[in-house]
Amino acid sequence: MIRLDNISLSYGSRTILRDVSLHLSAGELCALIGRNGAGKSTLLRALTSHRKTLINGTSLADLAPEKLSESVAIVTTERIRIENLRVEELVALGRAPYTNWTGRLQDIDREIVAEAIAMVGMSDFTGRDTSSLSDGELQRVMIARAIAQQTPIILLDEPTAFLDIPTRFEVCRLLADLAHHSGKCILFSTHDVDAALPVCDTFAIIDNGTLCKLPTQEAAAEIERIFR
Amino acid sequence: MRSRTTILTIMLALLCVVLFVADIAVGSVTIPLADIVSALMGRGPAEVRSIVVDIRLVRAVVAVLAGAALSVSGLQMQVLFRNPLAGPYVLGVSAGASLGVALFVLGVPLLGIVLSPALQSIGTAGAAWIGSAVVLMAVVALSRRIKDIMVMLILGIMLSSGVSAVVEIMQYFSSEAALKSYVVWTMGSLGDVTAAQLALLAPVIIVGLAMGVAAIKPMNTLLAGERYAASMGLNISRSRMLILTSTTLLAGTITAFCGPVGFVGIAVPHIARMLFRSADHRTLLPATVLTGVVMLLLGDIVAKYFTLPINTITALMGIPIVIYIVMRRR
Repeated sequence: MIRLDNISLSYGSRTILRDVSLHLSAGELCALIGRNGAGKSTLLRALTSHRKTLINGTSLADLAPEKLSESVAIVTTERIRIENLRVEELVALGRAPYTNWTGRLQDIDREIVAEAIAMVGMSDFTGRDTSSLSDGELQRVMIARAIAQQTPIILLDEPTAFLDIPTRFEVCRLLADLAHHSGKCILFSTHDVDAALPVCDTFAIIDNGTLCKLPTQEAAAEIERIFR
Repeated sequence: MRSRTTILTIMLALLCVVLFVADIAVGSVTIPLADIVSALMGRGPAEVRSIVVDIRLVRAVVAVLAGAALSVSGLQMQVLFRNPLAGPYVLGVSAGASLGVALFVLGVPLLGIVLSPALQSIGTAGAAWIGSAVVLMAVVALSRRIKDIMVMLILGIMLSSGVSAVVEIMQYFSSEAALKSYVVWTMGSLGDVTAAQLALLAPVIIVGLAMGVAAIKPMNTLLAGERYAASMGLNISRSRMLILTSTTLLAGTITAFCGPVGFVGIAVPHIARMLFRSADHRTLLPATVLTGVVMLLLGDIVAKYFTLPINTITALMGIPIVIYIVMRRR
């Protein structure tokens, strides 16, 4: 579904990932872990910008931005709190690739938005101003925005950061539902190994500029060996 | 929510019409409504027709265009820079236009060149466009490195002060006539625009506003930031260019013809957001246009009544809004 083969990535003048490869399939939930500054965000960024990224066999170099927006949705670490922007309006931004030049929503778009909000358990928050939401609520809304974009691939940068412990587990379970019941290919960077271990199919571990992807059972031991 | 938007839109549109007529009526001689209508229909005494059609109608139309243009340019800059305190005046874009105009108005006579009034008008507008475009490019380049809102504003103030210093040096070497025309321009006036100048100003503002309409979806998508916008298929560089060109045409042209009119661009989008309780630019763009038109017509009526420069009135109207925004963010 999405793959990178033998690429090196730099941050500024520093090469942080050397000759790494990553292959992810439909219905797979993969946690990307590594120390601060190891290159998790850089790798996630490369998956939507590096020419050598292949999405369903097509290189990003040959994929128009509009087509990419129908294939990959992202959730960044940024908290989007905008006064007077309601929950459903923020989620509806995810419909941008499918709307006309004014961004006018059709009935089908409204249905998809309502469904996405329901999937993240935020239906009761419809009509609420996004500037009044907690971090956890906002994170769910941002995930709903990615769901509304209806892409087969979702990439999330630290979706559990700054959340309380129960909400971290809830977000991880939500991602697992999306991968295992909706068949989406999901990669998310995290430091919450405890919340990710029970739900993820695979772990992509970055250490010392190298990347290895392992099934969860094997990953647990490797994480123990590397990080503890 | 939709009914609230509709009611507010109708009320503001009606207020615009009332203020437009009031703006024509108010002046050194107050003209009754019936006489205004007669004059507009080509009837009545020639001197009243001349005052209404040649002077006050032109001035009122300029107020409408200036209100719409400055407000929309402020709205665009606030979205583009993701900065609630952005506006053509505070980020130094008006200062850039001022520098362009100063170089043209003060510089051309220094070179011994005498221009016809038509060339003078076009040259002033062109100089303001170039000046504002250059400053906008500089601000965009800086904003890519500096994310702090306050630092950007301080840089805007520094830019304005730098421009003032350069202009002052030019003033020192300028002739009295050139100096006077520049100083009068800096005071800001909606009444100095002639019908011939309006014929140049109006189409440019309409093009700028049309580009603003074309940028509605990009502006909505950019609410979430450039990275999200790009992930939703938005061509960032093309959209940024569209918005910047529109802003330059709108703010640069008004500054060229009416002088630096401050605090409309920064304050009006916030008034529109508060009134319409919306962040959707399909609602906000027309709301901002109507609110801006109301503010400028109101400002012009007060300016005429007390014989004051328009930018002092807009400053007094806009500054409390800016203070409110700053205090609320703390």
